[in-house]
Amino acid sequence: MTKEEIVKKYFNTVYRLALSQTKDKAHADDVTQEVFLRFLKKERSFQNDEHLKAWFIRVTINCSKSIFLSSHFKKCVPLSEELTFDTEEKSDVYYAVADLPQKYRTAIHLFYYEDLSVAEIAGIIGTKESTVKSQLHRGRELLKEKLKGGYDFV
Amino acid sequence: MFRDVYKSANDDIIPDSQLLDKILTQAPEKKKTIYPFFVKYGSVAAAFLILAGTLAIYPKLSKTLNTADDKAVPGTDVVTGISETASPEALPNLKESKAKATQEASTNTKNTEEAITEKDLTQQGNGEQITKEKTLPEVTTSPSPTKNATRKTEADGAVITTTAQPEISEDSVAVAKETNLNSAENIPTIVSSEDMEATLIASPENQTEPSAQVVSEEPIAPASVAGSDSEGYSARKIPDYDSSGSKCGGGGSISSASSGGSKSGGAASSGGSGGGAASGTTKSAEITESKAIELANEAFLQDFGEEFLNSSKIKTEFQGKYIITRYNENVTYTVTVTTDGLLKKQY
Repeated sequence: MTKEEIVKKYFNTVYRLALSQTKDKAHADDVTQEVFLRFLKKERSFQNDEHLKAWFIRVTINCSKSIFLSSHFKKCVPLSEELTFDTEEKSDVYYAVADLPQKYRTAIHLFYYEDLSVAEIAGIIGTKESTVKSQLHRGRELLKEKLKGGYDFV
Repeated sequence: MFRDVYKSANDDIIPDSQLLDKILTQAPEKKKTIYPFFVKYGSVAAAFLILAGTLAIYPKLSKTLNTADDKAVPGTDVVTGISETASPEALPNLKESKAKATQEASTNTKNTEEAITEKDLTQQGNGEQITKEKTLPEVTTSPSPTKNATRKTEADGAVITTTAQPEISEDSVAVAKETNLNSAENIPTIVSSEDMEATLIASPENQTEPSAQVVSEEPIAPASVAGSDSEGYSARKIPDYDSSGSKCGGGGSISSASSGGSKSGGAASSGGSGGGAASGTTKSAEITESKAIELANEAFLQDFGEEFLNSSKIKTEFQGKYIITRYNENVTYTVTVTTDGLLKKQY
């Protein structure tokens, strides 16, 4: 696959993760742009798609963290742009996850949206599986309190 | 299911297509060049290959260098032309070197011949053949040429006789073939070149009085003329030596005292010391001590009689002349005898 194809394939994944991390479209755009620029600049080869995906996710999380640490992000107040969803349930669930702490939010997003395993998440984040498990557990607990819908967190 | 709801909610989020275009357009176009790759890894590979090749070839190189040294053909030394380690078998220039060496040796032998005392011998009876018997140190050569292609001559107690035309063979530089040598009776033999001068055994022709024998081992002082005194005799300085008890003059104990240095007793074997022979020349015309004592005794006898001779003691001195003193309680009679035989009486 060409790089353009790869960019197109993983563009949505990177953007959505960046948006869940930054909770801001502008910052998400910056993170997305940064991630793909990095990909395009570097002449690196990947073993398979899973390896490539894991790379994108890791770089997105790292770029998101770097933006959090920048002075610009600290001074700026994120614009409260509301995202539109088809149903209210989707909006409640999305915003409930968005309100979680960053580390819980990452684990929940990767586990439930990217369908990654605990081991994969641990590998990408660079933590232990037990840590990922505990983060997932606490995230679910917080979501249960917020959502009060009786969702099944399978 | 939470999963399904959360997925559908995220799927509804669509990023801006302009962003995608922006990303695609802003992508830098890198020219793929292999030059850096080549420089980076190629240099390392080249260095490795060079090192490996050097290590692999080094033993062979060292071998070739060693074999080159070992295979140096003997006898083909450029500097000297003669190899130090030349073996008799493989020396292409051996003959030339030998010829040169023999020539040089012959010149050396000729030079030595001149330095050596010769004695011509005439063959009695025939009277025709004259052979020169020369004592030459024996010359020995080695089969292999030496460094400087010179032949050492050993002169240790060897007797070599040469003819007028010495032959030079491969084994020896100067080998003299004796031809028509006289009998060895009249031939003075010289033991060695070193002892030639010192141990010249005199032939009957050359023999002189025992007093004339050169037996002095001490350096012979040059004869000095002390000048003539008023008496008319010259005092010739003769090295001092002990005068042995003289046999002449009959009777009486004669005690003599040496005036000066001592001489070896070799000369006393003749019964008297050859005082005059100390100079190394024949003293047959000069007065010896015994003669001087004899003359003095005659004078004593003449003047004082036999009783004085028997009762007196004798004392002999030599101070360029013989001073013979006879003394007793009453009389002291001194007779001075020069080497020429002049007498002077003093009492």
